[in-house]
Amino acid sequence: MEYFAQQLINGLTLGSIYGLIAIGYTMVYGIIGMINFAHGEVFMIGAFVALIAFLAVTATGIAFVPLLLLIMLATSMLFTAAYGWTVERLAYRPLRGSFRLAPLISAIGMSIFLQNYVQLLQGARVKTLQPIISGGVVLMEKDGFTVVLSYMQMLIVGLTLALMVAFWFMIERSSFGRSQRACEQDRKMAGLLGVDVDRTISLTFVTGAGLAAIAGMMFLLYYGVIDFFIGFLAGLKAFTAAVLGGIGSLPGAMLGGLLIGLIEAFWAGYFTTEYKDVAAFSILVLVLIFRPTGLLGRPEVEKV
Amino acid sequence: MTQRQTQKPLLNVEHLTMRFGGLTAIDDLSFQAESRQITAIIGPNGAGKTTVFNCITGFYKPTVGMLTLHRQDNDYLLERMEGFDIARHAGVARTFQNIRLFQRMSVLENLLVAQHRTLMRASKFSFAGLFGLPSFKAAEREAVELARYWLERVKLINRADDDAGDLPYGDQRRLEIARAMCTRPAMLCLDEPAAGLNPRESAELNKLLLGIRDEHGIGVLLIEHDMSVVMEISNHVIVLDYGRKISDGTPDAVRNDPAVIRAYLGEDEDAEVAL
Repeated sequence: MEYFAQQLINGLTLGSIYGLIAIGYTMVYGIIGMINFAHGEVFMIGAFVALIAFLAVTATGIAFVPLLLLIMLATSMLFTAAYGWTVERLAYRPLRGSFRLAPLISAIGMSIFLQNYVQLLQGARVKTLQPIISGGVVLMEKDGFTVVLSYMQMLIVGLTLALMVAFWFMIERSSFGRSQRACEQDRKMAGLLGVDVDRTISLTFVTGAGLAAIAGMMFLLYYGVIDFFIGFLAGLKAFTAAVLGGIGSLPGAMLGGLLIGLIEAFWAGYFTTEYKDVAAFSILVLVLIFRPTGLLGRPEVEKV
Repeated sequence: MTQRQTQKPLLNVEHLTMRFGGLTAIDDLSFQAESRQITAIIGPNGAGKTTVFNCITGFYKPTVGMLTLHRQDNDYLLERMEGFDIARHAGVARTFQNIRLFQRMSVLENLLVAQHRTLMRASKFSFAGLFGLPSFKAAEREAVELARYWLERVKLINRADDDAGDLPYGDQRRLEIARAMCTRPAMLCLDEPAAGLNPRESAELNKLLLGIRDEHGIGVLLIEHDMSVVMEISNHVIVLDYGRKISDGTPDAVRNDPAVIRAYLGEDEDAEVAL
């Protein structure tokens, strides 16, 4: 029981990070129907920018943790969003209207480029960060096994929840969200009604990258170790999460993220840590076979 | 005549030609459409009516020709503009033969998307909207007000919160017109708005279009097969056949034009032999 509770907490934390990345996949898929394979790298860049911001701020002598975190968050979001915008502008927009595979190949190229770019600039060795937030609350204690909810985990899950609410509000209530959904359904028609489709797509990339930046920063704080390659696996897992939840569906992405996080945590906890990725990706295979539209996805019904 | 020279027509189409490979869909078509008038384009199937609309709204780039839209003392050369620029700046709104509503958005949201441009500016690209700033709230209220006005005009006010895709066919058609009007256009292009409507709905549509023409002072360009609609409400009818204009005038003049009768009913071969 105690062990289960602990794995549940760990899984939810991990799932929050995956969920935030998955939203970027699902939104981009929704609006332009392509998988942005460079999104994992955008997440990785978010983690790096957060680390650089941390080093820069501590160098100035600020040691007040909430302020430090806030600066890291803002810097990371800002720069990573700029990367997201640039990737779309350079690698995808010129190919819009081209055949379907073209932007996909371009995305893979962008992903490889960004990995190598960070490797060249930051080196291939792992970067470490001392834990900024330590400690936690002991929830249960029995037979020498303690269930701990760390402050870090609280921050991750709490921040994710807050972001989800804000994001949901933005998509459902704001004018941008409305045009975003309109473009998702009929881009040409939205354009004819005066919606600037290109800008809406750009903003979609920017918001997706902003959320990935937060996920990157959380990853950095939680694990304390990053390198230029973290985007690959995390991106793939988040993609799996998006497919599991139903690609194109926002609540689906979040739900999928949480499920993948939980599956991984429980698998690692009860079976073997080595095979936790196998478990996550087996789920992808099973979902694609038995429920191709995902858990919350909308089946394509054609009216005859 | 002097009136004519000082007052530019709302839409002036000159020598419009559209070729697809070897096929000439529109051949040297010139016509004018005025504000506060309903101009109907009729013709047998495949005459090139929808192609004309596609050229006007930027879907196609005409092979030859000049399309000038005159709005608030500005001339817009439509053949040089992108589709969404035509919608934004020149103020051309259109509907389609097959309904293109945002099916999974509510009726009200469909009308708010059409006012996106004003809202987006007021919302400072969503930031003000997110934090609920008063300037945005005022703009949003105004947008909802306009949407409400049009929902009442098309008798859909009771269904404002339903998904557009759940409405019956006739209601969807009217909603499309309401949505086009929410962009505050100078010219409204309707592609077969009466298709699939029953006689009662069709009569209601006539009333709505006449109201739009008279109260909102915009020009309506109409493609329609239903002659009861065309003859009853148009001020000006243009007849196309094989991409060429064969007649142009008032409904009565067109109705009695032998060229039109020939295009619709076919040549009377015996009569020709007899001549």
